[in-house]
Amino acid sequence: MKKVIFILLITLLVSILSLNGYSSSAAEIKTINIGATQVLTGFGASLGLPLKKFAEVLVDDFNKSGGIVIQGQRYHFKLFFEDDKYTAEGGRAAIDKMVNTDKVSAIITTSSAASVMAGLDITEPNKIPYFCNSAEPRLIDPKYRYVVSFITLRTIFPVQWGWVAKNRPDIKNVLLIATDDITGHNDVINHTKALKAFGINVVDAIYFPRNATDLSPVATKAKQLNPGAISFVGVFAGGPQAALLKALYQAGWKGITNNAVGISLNENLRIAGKEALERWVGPILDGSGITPPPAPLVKLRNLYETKYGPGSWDKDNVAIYNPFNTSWYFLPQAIQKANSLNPDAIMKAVEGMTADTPTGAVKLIVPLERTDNPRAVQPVGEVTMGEVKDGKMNVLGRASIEDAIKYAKTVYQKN
Amino acid sequence: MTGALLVQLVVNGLAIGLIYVMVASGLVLVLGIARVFNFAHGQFYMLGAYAAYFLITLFEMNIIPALMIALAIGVFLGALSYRSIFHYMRGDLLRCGAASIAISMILQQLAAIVFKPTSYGVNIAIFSQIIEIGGVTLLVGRLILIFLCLLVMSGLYYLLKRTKTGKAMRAISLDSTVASLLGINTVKIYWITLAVGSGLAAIAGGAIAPLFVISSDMGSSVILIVFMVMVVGGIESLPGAVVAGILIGFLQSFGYHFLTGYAELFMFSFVAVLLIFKPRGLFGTIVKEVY
Repeated sequence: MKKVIFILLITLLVSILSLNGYSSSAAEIKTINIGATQVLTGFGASLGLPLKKFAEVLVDDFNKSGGIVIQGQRYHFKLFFEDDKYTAEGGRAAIDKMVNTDKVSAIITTSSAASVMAGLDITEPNKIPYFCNSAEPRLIDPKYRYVVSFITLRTIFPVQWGWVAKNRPDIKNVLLIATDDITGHNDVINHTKALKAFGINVVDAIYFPRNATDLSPVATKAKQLNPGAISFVGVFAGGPQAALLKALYQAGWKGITNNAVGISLNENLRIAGKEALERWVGPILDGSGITPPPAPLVKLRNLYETKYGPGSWDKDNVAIYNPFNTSWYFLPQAIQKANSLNPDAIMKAVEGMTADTPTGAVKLIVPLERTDNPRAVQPVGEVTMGEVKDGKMNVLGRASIEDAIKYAKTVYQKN
Repeated sequence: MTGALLVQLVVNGLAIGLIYVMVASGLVLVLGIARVFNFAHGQFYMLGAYAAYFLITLFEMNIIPALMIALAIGVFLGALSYRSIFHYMRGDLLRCGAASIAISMILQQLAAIVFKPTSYGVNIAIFSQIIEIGGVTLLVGRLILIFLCLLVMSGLYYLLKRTKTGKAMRAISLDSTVASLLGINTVKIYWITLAVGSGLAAIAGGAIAPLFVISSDMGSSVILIVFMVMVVGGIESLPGAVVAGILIGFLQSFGYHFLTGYAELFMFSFVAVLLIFKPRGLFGTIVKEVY
């Protein structure tokens, strides 16, 4: 009898141990290495440093929410962040390290065209899904099999001007003030295309060096041309935009100003003053004036301030960079939908996805400019238009995703 | 072009030109007397602007005492950089250049970390006022800036021409060995020169604060123009820096207005052509053997 009891106890013990073993194996969380690049030093670091923090907050939240389950196995993301120095050399070195040393499964990039293009020689042969935040048109070339061109800004131009043509007939002609670099010149072409498609006249395009100290000559010229509105092109929504607003105000300009990349209301009020912002019209990308603000924006702000302290969101001026972070809302979803880490499966999963981002809902569609690449996608997002009055942002109207696609088709199918 | 537009462009050009004059004069002094090529000069300009911002905006200080403190910060940093670094490599342009590049990078990165990667602006009501005289739109701030620059440059003129220290500085710039044999404490004059030169950059940075935007990379932007001013004026010539600074200011003002995207091409082409006919710049002399 004792022998039987002993055998039963041993059997029970072995069962318990093996059960424990089984559960501990099921609870084991593996990691997926995700790479990201930004400019973290020198010129442009003001853009890259908040974006790095932004990514860290999103990845922390993703992991705390349980991560992702692929074929029964739970995974967390591990973030590898590299400085691309906003140069081709820096970008290539960063991508090389992440692919060959850190063994990342996917990469979310900076907005620098040179840096992003330089990394393609490494990501393509290694089949690394490359979620690019650059507006560089060559990225949607069919020869690149693992690239997603992610920036929403390119599709904001048609939406903005389509909305203006329909709702603000007082704006009949527009003067473009652009940075004298590839970004500025490319964007002037894009804006001109969109403006012409909606019957708005382009008065002129004035170029200025991105690092110019004094913008008064540009502002004096702009005021003299007396357009219906002045739009800033290739100008980030932070300090450079404030510098232009201030210079225009100092030159005596009291008309409408615009920037397709939105405006950072608080920062611009602080730098340029209330009067310089009066009558600014454009897309609201930082959520200011929108009631209630988009839920992902509120969540992100709370997470950010929990990690970096109260007031850090406004201090770091994170909100204006929202369009550069759309890809962080799609990458986990694409891996989940693919239910695999296979790069081909992830790339296949991307098309047609929709995500709620801090700037509103964004959908990935086949690029309207280039229909010969079956793998390429382009984000189109809903846009809320606003106008600054007395230092406050007032919502003028909203273009839905359907409206945005319609406006984009008008531009790209007309030209 | 109307007369009103001409006046407006002249005022714009003069205002920014005089800023270049102030920054370039500091650099010319430092190079001509102390034999230091200071790439960190632009960062002293940047620190002067930040100092003015914090004093005016956070401590609600009047612009004049704020500028005095910005000047003092520049003077202190200039003297400190000489005593701690440049003193040990003075005359060796390559080593001084390398050290000053390192200082400039450290200061710029520190500014980006301490002041956050964002821009700042000072808004003073009187500076933002616009006056219209006979169809000419003039910003009061720009007129004040011109006045301030002229005042500072007059102070520099007085220092160099009418004081013992100024005379010693000029003597050293002519021949430091002879000056030393005549009993001039050259080391003292060298650090005073670094202090005065850096102070000029800092006060120029403070003076532009109410008109332009302040950011950690503003020093790198201005230093390129200032180098051009020095080359056009004649590397070690103070009158050259004055004339070239105003000339570059006018070229920018008129160039961006009439040529927009081609303004820089025009400006650099103009400088290139000028250097073909005047290789040492407008007021340049033969570069000394010490190099």
